[in-house]
Amino acid sequence: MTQENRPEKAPVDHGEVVHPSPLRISWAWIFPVLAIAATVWLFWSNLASRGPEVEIAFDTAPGMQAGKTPLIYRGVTAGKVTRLRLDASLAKVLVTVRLEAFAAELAREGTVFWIDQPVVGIGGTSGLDALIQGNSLQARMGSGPPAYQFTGVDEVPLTPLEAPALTLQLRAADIPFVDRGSPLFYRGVAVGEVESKVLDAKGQPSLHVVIDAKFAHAVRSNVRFWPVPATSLKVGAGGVKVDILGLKAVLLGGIEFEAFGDPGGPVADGAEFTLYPDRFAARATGEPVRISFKSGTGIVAGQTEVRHLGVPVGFVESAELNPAAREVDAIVRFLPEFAHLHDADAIFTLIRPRISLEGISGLETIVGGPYIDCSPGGSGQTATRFAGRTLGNDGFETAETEGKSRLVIVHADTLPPVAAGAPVFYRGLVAGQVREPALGADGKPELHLIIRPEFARAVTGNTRFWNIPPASVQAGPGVLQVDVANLESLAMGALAFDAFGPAAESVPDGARFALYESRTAAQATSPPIRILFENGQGLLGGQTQVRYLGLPVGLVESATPRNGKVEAIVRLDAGYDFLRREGSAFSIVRLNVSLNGVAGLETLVSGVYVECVPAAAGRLIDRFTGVSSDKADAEEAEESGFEIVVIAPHTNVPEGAPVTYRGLVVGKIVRKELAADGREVGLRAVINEEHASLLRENTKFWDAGGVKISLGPLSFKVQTTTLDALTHSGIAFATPDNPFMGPPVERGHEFTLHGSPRREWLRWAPRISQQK
Amino acid sequence: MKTHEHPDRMRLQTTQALVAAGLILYVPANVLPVMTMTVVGDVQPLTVMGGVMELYDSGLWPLAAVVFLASIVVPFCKLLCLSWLLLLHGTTIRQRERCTLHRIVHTVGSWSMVDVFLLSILAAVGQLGALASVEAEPGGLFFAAVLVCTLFASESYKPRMIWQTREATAS
Repeated sequence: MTQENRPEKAPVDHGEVVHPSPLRISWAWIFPVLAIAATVWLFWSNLASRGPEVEIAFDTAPGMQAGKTPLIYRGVTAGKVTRLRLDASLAKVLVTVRLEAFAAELAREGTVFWIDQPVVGIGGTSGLDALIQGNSLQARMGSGPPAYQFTGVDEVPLTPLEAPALTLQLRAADIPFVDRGSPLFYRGVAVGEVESKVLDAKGQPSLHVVIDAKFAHAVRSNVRFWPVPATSLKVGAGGVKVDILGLKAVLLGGIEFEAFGDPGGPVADGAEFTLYPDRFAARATGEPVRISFKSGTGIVAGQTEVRHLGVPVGFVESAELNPAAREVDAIVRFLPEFAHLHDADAIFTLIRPRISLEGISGLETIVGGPYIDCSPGGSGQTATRFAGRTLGNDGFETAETEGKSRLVIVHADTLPPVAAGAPVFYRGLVAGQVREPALGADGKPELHLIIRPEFARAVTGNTRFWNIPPASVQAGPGVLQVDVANLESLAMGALAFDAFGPAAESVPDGARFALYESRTAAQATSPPIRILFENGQGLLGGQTQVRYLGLPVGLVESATPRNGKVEAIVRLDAGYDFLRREGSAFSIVRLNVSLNGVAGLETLVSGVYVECVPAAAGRLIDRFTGVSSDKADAEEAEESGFEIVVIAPHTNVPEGAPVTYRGLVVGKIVRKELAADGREVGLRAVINEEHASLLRENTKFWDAGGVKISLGPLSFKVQTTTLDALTHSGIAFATPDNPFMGPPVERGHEFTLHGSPRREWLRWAPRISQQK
Repeated sequence: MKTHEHPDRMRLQTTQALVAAGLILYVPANVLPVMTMTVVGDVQPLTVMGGVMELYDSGLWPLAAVVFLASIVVPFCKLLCLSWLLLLHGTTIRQRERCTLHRIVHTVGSWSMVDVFLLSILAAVGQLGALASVEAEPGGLFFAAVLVCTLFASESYKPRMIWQTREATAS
């Protein structure tokens, strides 16, 4: 400075113009000052923006990165993860977060921290931005005193912005289909969500639901909760109505609540409520009413409604078995406004679908399920215990007919397929109903029938019950009738009864009757007739008919083998006793097909039957020996014919084969037997008496069966006897001309069977006078 | 004579002030992030040194060396050189070398803003929405300020002032 001062002072000495002293300090020094200021300010502001440090423990910290992951509060970065470490036991991740200064308030007890990560679910999709920006830490501010240690939650809270105003606990016997995030509706407005499903220490399930703060006032102490069916189907006479709530409710279900009754007071956080099965149940708050039913079929706890004039007035809360009384008690709750309906004289009837020939009742219950009809007595005095009645297919008694109808028990070895509720007919009228099948004391199955009071007189000592098959076929020559009973009997079967024989007294309640298999069986009331048949083929007990002149007059009750024969026990209808005269012939008519003709074709459809040819007179007996139809013919022939024997070493000619003379059938082979020494076969033939004179000593027999083919040098000749013989074969004979014929033969004369006729035999033409 | 003396004295002071400011600003320029790179949600604030490390970690060590030289070594060296020039101002020590040095500093200075230019281009162009973005941070401002300080400092310090010894001024 001294160097500089010296020249300045010099001008003063020389009288020169003195310039004001120039600025000694350059203006440029402002830059370092500014730089210092900026730096200091920067560091200071950096320091000032640092808030407190908090430590959050997570079970898992996916996507967390020290120095990078931000803490987001209401969408704003409120801090940054500065350190990640595991706790001493390596069980938790400790995330250290440096909060921004403005977010220092977050360091409070009750603040909820969670890791925001992408969640895609049916309830909603959240954290999608985390897909791009990486997971972030999120926080919801609490309201407690300052705290710096936290435990993070695993799931995003349902209300991420602020703590829910109300958390409620809903208790239910079983939790309906709802899940975390299922909406909570109040008059259609979603006011909260289901937070969790929990089981308490006793194993009782409950739902935790949260209510948004702005709707918290809607929850009063008198609200009732019920699950919302996502879809509901309402079927009534008015039509079908299908309600489908929003897609979310369809996927997630939902809970609805509404206030009922008195205004109610505010509820505290954590209050407990009951979750009712449905809206209707929630509304029914009346005192419990106990109704006893004989059978609880159709009663569904929490579902079955009580209706008055068709209007639901209550519901069955629960159904309990009352073992002592062998009854089912339905605990019913009425809507408060209908509480007066369960007065002391009220009648409760369980309505179930009922289909009968008289009509269909309770049809709506097929879809809607059974309900309990309530008809109040009007006494004004309410009661809480009732004996209920049942109207429906497995209980015939109704309020009108109970007590006066008649119980009848029918029994059979094997019950026909008749369902409870099947109708019982009397001459085409529905006279009653099958109540239930049971096993009788003697081990035989029984059916209990309820006969309506107006038909009770029709049940008398001579009444017979029979089963009506759902469909029946009646066939005869030219007649084929197929009866299909109505749909109901087709489904359930049916019984019928009628009185046969002389009038009898009316029977008491609970009388027992035998159940016949068919009307025919029931009709056949005569004492049993025993008929022995050689061959019982086709005989069916209870089915095979006895016919007289083609009309059914009785029935084969049973057919049992006895001593190598078949004994058929036959009952005849009333009025046909004359068929039992001694000497009556019973034969089995079967289908008989031969080339001579077809007989008994009707048996193709109806089965064999027993034909009865009554004797002209005689006393009544009950034992007969039956004849089979073909046998009858043979025996008839045997009796009336001239019997001879034709001997052959071997022959195919069967029994019944015709014996022909000049192509005319004059006899029949009735038996084919081995000769005594076993070397030959004897064909026992019966020749008509009128043709017996044709048989002479020298008569030649030959096998005429089948086709004879003779092949000559210039001819080809096919020769058959009758067409019958083509299949049956047969024998033919010829007698020589007069001088050589020989004397007539005795009965039982033996002839020899030749294989084929000699040519001259065919030319023989004796003159023999025929006996007439 | 006086009219010559006065601007030179002021120039010297200006240079000293700018070098001092540059030295001060050099600290935040290197501590604070110069830019924030967001790539697919990954937010990465980068200081100059951080950027070099990033490049080196990515295996681009030649590039890392270039950036390291251009962004850290060169500005620092410039500041050092200028400080040295100022320290030896008025003495006769190594006047020729100081002259050469000043010329080098001056020449290099015309390239020194390349970093800032690059950063401004990156910040302007590197806006790919949510996928990737580059944002300039205060550190860049400080960095630019350092460079500006060195530029003006080397500009205000004239080579002739190297030859102005105290003795010469006095005479």
